[in-house]
Amino acid sequence: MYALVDCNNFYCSCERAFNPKLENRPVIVLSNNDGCAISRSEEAKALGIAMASPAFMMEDLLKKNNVAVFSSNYTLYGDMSDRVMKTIGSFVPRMEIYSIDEAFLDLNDMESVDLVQLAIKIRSTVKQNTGIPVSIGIAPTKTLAKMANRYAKKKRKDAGVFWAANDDLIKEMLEHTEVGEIWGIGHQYALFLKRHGIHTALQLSETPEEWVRVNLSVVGQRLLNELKGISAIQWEFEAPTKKNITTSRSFGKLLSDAHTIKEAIANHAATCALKLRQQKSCCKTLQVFIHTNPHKTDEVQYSRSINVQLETATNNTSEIIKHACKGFDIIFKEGYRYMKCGIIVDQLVPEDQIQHSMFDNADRVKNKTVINALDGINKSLGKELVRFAVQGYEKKYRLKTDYLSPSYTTNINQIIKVKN
Amino acid sequence: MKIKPDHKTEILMLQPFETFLPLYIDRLLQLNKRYLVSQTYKRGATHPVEPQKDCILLSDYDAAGGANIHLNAVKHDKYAAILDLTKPAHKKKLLEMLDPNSGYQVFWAVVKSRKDLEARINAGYIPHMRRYIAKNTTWRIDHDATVFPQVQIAFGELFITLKWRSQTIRIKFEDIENS
Repeated sequence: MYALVDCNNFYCSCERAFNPKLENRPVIVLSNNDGCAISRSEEAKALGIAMASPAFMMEDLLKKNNVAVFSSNYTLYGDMSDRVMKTIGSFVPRMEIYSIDEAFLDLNDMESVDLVQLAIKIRSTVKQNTGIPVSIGIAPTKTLAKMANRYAKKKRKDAGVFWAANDDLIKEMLEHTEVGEIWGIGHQYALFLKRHGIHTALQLSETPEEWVRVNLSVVGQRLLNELKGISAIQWEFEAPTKKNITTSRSFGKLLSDAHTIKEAIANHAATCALKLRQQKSCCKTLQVFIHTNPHKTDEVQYSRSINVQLETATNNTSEIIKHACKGFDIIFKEGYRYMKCGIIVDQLVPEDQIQHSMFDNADRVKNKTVINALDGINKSLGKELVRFAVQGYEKKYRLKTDYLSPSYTTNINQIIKVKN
Repeated sequence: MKIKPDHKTEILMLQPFETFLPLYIDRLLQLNKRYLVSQTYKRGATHPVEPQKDCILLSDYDAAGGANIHLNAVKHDKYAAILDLTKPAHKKKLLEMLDPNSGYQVFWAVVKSRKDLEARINAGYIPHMRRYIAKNTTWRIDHDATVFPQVQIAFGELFITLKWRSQTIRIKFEDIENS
């Protein structure tokens, strides 16, 4: 048996956990730069606020209905996610963290445990420890557990738990799930299946295997097995290493100044380098890109990227920043108002399998010692405490966060105060 | 070919649960287990005592949430209901059902010893399990190999989990019995 634990409207729930006045009030959290709604409370959903609705297009609606609006506060959400996962992890022997607000639990060795009682206990403990409401779906496969979770949210709202314990309950759940809502079925496949008269998960589960293999490939066949209760998706207790890493952000306002944009490029490069070191990889190429705002049709547009091939694969911050800045100098043009820049590091190789170059003059042993010391200081004393000069301190390009809540759990100066 | 259940196969059905006695009501209340979910219990019908009676299975819960989840799972059952032992009317109805002269035989979804039950299953159902595995799986088990059966009770229904090497299957115990 698998269980999928999913936090309800996670970002909104995190904001509510520290601000009880928000209970029963519509709440939305906006994406980077306060762009679109990316998390909505049930009350906000009832108002008709759709996922990814642009904030500037619903200003009147938000004001009229007293909707609480928040900029996304990933420091808070990341820390709350850690707390939720630690609580959930204390109930089961094995757990796979699937995303910031979801985790699969392995219940295979828990035959003697009443799974309904366990799910209720997990739900109440997470709520008590963190203030975050969760829903739990239990089923024989990962796909069915994901579906059971969705079913619990839709049809068993009060209990927040659905255990597809027998064939009748699995059938009931499959019958009420549209093909487009199945984990692994995208928009195009959903349209394709509907054109062939397959509208529900139950109909898909009853489709001949041969037809599925021909029309939905081997991935579809795996999905079919999962719907039939035969487990076909492996556990991923550790996240697989990434094949490339991208760091990019839109600027808080349009920028023309090369110095400020270069500062952003250097910071993105440093972030990429840190991520590379965290997964013990080095990159052989990096791409630098900048572009103006394509939605500002009255302004002249410019978009350019450049690939930089490195002589020797590296994860050293100074080297990556140096190459990124060189690339930037080549593609940057004066006279435009830029909206976004970013770095993509590619062709990743494990750091212990680097092909060194005959003509490489860098003292890699010394560089590694320096960067390890830098990482050590930043880890123990604070993020980016020690940095390269080109990264600057001002961050004029910083994202727009007009509605940012405090980092209640990670910054001692912003910790919640109890009044007498 | 469909095999009609006869007297012999009915007798072979395993009945693992305890008979519910009136004294358990107060004990459950002492343990704060005030909710009982009732449902039809067909395994009880094979019990040698009073076979003509309607057999009911009760599952206990300490909170309404769990009881509601169970009730939703058996909502099509004609005896599906939640009994709240703190309500006099519910308690009275339960006591009526427990009367030896009533038309009901009431069981409680607990087993005294899970190990004993698993031993009973091992002793009595090995040929059934072998037949089920041969017919429904691709497992190729040596004659002297060990398959570990583990029992699970889900919404009053008995399931068995069979583990062999790294593979696991979960089956209704009824399917094993019918193999």
